[in-house]
Amino acid sequence: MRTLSDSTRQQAQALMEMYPTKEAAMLPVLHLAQKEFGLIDDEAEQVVAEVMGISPVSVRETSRFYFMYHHHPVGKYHLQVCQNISCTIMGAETILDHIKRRLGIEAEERTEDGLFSVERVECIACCDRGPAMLVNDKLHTGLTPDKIDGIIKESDPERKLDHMQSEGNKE
Amino acid sequence: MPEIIINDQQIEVPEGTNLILAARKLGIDIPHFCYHPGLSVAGSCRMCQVEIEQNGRKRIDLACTNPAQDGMTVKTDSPEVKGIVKAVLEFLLLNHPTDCPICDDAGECKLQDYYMLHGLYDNRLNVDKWHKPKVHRAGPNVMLDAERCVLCGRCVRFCDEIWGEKQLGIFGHGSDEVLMNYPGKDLDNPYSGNVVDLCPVGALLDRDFHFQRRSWYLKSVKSICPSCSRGCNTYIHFDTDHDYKSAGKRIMRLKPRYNVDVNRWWICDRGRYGYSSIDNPNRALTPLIAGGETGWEQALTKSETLIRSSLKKPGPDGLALLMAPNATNEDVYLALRLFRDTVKFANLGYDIPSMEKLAADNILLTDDPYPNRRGFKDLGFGSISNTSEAAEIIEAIFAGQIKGLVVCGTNLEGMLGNQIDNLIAKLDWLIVLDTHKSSLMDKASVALPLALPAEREGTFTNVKGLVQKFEKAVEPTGQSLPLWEVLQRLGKRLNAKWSFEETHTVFKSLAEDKPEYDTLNWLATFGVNKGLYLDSW
Repeated sequence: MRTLSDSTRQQAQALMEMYPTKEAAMLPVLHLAQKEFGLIDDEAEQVVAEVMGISPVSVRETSRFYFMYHHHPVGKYHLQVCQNISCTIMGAETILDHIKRRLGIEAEERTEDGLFSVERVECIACCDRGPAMLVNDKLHTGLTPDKIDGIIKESDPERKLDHMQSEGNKE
Repeated sequence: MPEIIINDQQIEVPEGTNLILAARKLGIDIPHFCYHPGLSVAGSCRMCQVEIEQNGRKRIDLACTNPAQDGMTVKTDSPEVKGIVKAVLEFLLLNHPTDCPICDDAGECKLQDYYMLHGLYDNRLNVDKWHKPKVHRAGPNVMLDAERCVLCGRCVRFCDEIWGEKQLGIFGHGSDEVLMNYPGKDLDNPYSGNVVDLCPVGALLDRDFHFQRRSWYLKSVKSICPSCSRGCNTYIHFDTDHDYKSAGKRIMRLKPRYNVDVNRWWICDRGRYGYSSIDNPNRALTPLIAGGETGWEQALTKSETLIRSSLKKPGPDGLALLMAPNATNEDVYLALRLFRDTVKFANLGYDIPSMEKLAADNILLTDDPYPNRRGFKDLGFGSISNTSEAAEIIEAIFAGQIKGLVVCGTNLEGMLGNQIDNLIAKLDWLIVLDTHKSSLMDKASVALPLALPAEREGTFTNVKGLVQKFEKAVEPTGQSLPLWEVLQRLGKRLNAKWSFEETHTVFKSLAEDKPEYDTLNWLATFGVNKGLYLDSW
């Protein structure tokens, strides 16, 4: 069974003391756990429940409600592509299709090598610079297929280009 | 106390009474799924919306979260309210599988009832429904069909608030929200069966009742749970007319019956699922003489002969009666009148030392597995001259002082193990009365089959001293008889001066001797509190 590091436990403790009820610290504590474990799976839920001294059922009710907690492993580079109206008007669908072709995966999936995963997300507050996406915590705006290729190559310079079918020579 | 008007009828209710309860006092049923008087108020199902006019303003609001306040005018049947309730119901039924023909809850389902009362719309859905886990094992006693769930959260709150550990949760978001136990952790608390009663639809179901009977075939009598000394009020649901499945099974399930003084709305799983001992192949069916089947006349004649033969020698000091505290007050009363007062046995014992101890909790379960220890105590069960301790009686048998023994329901084999044969060898005769077959019955001089509480009527006195009556559901198995009737027949042969025709005349006589037991009106329905709360929520 995994366990949280001492420093994360201390942070969780401090968070719980900030609120009149410890349950109120659930969201930030889950984020701490996700940062350390990379995801919130069954085991992580139970660790959080143990740290917070509450039922694992309560933790799961919260963690499964919010999309920003990952219940399956995500890639080293987690691409979160905005699907809200401004980005969609600016071509978010084309961007998502391009990413899916380049990586050979569907949305909400991870590449076999574990490097990349793609997720559709709601507004990330960059409506003026769409289409936009987050790669882990880094913001990319004004996306074009070329920019996407650049981001992928920058993240994984060794990635074989013959896997990468450009939109032009498809079929 | 606030005074309000609901649908043009005026009513005064205690401070804090919500509008669902206030309306029910007037006989008006406000539709609801998530509200239950035994649980906290969630306000999540949105079915109980009503029109509230207060201080000149009108609003549509929930009846469950709004306590009655002076001057409120409430309408539950205005066209606007009807439209809203219908719309809420349409949403709740949106992804419901409507597999009513194979649902155990059909006939006692709130979705069905409310659709007929408040829905009656045509299906407007032209896309596929969402699917969720079906026939999921939530725990040892309970199964879950997540598709049928309306996410009212009653079961979640029951585990959290009554049992004290959250064993069920509602996980997910939007249409894929699903009720589930925690993966790898069962819904296994000792009160888990109550979530089945609480479930307003067919999502949580008794595993033992699955596909057993259509609910509308069930008949019901009021009963008292005999599984511990709490004396929880129950209904026995039975059916003897549709024996096409599970042959010989008459008792189909037990359900709690509301009693504010005893068990409120709940019963424990031990009591709820303990009925399998009734329609059990191991039941004692016929009287036995030395292990051979016989009839009542021969067996009673033999018993009479044995008892008479010992009245002179060894005499009263050499005779004993052992009774388990699961006999009714009527049985105890007649046993005393026969064995203590008529044939004058000197040794009468019921306090069995090495009995099974239950894990008591502060909800319902007591540590005493017998339902009527208090009744035995109250009625003064015991001998006048010699010992009243079962352990002392057994010691006296081994010492050769007691030569004749009558045993009623006492698990002597469990107490004595392989010493039982030595005990029998010390006796001139042994008469055993019991409900289930045992090697003790086979070895006894005479063995007489007894009826179980579900097969007769009678009263138990619970641990707090409350005298409670239970009714007969089904006929006694085989040739078995209620204990009081056996004692009546035997008493007649032993020249007893009393005679009783029916259980209630025994109770009447008992209550004359014991005025504090005269709290029952036998012909009325007891144990049910006629008040604000009803069984069905």
